[in-house]
Amino acid sequence: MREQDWPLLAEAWRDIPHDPTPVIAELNRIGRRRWVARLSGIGEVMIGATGIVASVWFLLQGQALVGGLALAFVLVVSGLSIWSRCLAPPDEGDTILAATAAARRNAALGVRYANATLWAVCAGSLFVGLLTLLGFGGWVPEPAPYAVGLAVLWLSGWLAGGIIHLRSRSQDLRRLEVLYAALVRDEQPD
Amino acid sequence: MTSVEEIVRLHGPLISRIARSYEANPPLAEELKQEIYLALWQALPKFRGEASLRTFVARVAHNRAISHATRAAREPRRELLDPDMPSESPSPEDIVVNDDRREKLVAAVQRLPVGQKIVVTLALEGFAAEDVGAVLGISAATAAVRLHRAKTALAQLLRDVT
Repeated sequence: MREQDWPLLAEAWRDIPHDPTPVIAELNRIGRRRWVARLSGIGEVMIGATGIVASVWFLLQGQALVGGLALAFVLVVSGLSIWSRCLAPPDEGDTILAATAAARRNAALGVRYANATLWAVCAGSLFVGLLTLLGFGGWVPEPAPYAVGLAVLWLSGWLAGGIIHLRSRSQDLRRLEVLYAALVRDEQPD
Repeated sequence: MTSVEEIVRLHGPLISRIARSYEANPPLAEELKQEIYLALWQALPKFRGEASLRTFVARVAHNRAISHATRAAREPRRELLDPDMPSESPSPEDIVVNDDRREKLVAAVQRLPVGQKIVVTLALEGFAAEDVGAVLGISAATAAVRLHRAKTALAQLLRDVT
């Protein structure tokens, strides 16, 4: 390609047909999607509140060990959830270099959050196991089998979510690190 | 106060072309275009006019397209361009020649690495080296060097697809 071919290429590029998009309808659709995302946040708050109420109930019943452990667990998990939601998303009006750096930082935090989730599931499993054993030993009231079953099901779902999140954010992080390095060093990724 | 409708009217074709440079599959390119409009809708309140509106739109479009490409990389796919892409050319001969040239150009741009794709699409849109630097966050001199390299890579790819 010679330098004088460039205007012809630019002309061909700008001749690519463009279909106008019905923007308002699309924005309304996106607005509905955001409402669903907000509902999931409300769901998390309700689960956290239920956990706190249950912990306090145990404490009021004189079950200091169970209540204290449950309260600590709910507070740790709620804290993780709030922290993950407080991450500032990359400013897409920023330069590509700055936005890519922010996206890379968030992906790294996402990996840390997913790892923390897996450890929280570990702690949750330990908690359910200990509670069940203590119940059988007569140290605390014996938990109902359906309650243990529900807790294990819930932890399994949470574990699956954590693994999926960890895998996807780890892939994002690798891609973004390669891209960022390419943008900074003027080398190109594959 | 600039509205998304105004941006669509003024810069819709620029957004469409950036979307096509990242996504070969037409329905997915359309989806990416919608994502870019959403990003603009969200980013617009932060626009303070430090750069031109066109530079701002190009930044948002490329940033969103990079996010889209990062997500899409989890499920790699390569599909042919739509052969039924409509043409505005006047004569049947021109339709064949122009469509062919455009498709080859789009295919070559899609095959460029992201860093080169950004500078090439901006240069094809008529952005000067200073503006390319403002979109990327690098100096005009560095942008000029990168543009030269990207043009060389594009020329090679155009030879390959011919």
